Amino acid sequence: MLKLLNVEKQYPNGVSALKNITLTVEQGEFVYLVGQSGAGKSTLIKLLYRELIPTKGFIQINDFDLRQMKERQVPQLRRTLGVVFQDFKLLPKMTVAENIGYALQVIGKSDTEIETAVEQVLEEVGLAEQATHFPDELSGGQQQRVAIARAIVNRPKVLIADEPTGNLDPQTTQGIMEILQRINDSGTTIIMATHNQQIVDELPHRVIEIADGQIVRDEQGGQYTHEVDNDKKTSAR
Amino acid sequence: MKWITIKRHLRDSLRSLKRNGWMAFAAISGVAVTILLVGISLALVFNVTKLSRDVENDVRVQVLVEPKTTSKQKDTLKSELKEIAGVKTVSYSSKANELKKVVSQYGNSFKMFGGDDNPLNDVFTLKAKDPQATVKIAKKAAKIKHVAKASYGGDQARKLFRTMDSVRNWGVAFSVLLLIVAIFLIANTIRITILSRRNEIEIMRLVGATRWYIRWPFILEGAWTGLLGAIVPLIIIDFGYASVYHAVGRQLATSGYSLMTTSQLVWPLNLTLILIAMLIGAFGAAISMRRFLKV
Repeated sequence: MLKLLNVEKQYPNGVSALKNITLTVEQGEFVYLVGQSGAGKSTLIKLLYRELIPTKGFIQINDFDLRQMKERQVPQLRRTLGVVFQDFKLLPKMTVAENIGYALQVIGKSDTEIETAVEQVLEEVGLAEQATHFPDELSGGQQQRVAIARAIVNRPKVLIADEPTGNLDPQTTQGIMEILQRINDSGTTIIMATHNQQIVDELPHRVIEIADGQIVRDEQGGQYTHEVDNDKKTSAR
Repeated sequence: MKWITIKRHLRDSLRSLKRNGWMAFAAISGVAVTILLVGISLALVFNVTKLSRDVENDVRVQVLVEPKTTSKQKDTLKSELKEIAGVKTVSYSSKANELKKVVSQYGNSFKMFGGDDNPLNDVFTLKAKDPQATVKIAKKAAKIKHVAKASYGGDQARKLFRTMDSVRNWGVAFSVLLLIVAIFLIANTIRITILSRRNEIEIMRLVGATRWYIRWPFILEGAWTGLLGAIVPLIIIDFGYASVYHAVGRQLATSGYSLMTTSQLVWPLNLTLILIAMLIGAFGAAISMRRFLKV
């Protein structure tokens, strides 16, 4: 499903953002990427949807070899992925339904197919009533739900989320996590970068911790902070 | 490309023009000013070209026949003149006829030169196929037997041809320069509108739109911007030209020359300007968004 082998990313200014990353994610997994700001989480996420190209190593997602693939194949890859961001990235001059339908338009679906799919996905994220609203008429939580709806309307195999709850209050965050969990339950792989300790701890899944561009922990059902660190904190108190 | 995709691109481009109202208005205004300048300059070039052609075509070689040349000799001379390379027509006018022309132009007092006192010559008037060949024809005609003189206006005609040539060349160069300025102006205005929509392009790329799928609505939007931007200047140019034609055209007509008629100029000019505006709008959009499509 998703394989990274000895992946390195060095920026043109010489900064080495990722070093020797090797990991495999199976279909249907829910993976948290945790680590401090600047650790390399966002770089890793960008490598996955091919916004960045690795300096070294091998990346395979949904049968696409990302290092070898040609520029014109990138849209094909992205159609098999859903991507969600902290700042929602909605088109302000399109309605909710248009924002979501756009992901289907680009792959040449008919208006009827788009209408049906959009209606269905809006039901799934609980925004059926807001279909004709514009993004600035919605709350932050609702906008993120629109972004999730857009990411999943194409029924991707993998959903990549970069800090999807970063701008949301705890209650809204919980709602978003419930939606992501439901999506994962339906078989979609989820890779989510987060700083939110509460959600990682309360909704346990595989945790991959990145520090200084390297994987320092890969733990099934892990906590946000490594247990050894927790112990240190407890004994310090 | 599927029909549904073409339909969507058309719809999206028009919708986007409407939704980005103020930015679109700025781009359309930029196009309008440039097209107005290009239009005025083209109207001038078209008319200068026409006038210079009129003047060129009006240049003829006057071949004066030696006095006492017999009718037979004149016939031979006529056929020899006809054989000169580049001659289109040869027409004859007797010295009596020439005197009539003088009398009609300068008055009855010249009637006293009638009959044997007529000092004028019989004249063959040669018209060249290519006005530029007039000088050569005159030189060749002068060498033929029974020709007293072959004149074409000499230095004046040469000077006139040179002036007309340079007026036309400078006019065309000026229009081309204006068009290049127009492309930069329009491309830059559209670049500003596209800059404000970087997020839109980024999102299109994220959801898997191909480069051409992203490009088309912007290119079409550029073309619509060109089309809308051309409307006001076209109206100004059309009505403006009609007034100029009425005011100047009549004065010119008395001298035997004429401006292009409104119908001769307006439609070709309108179509040319609309095409130019749409093409540079589309081209401007295409070059402006190149860097936003790089991964």
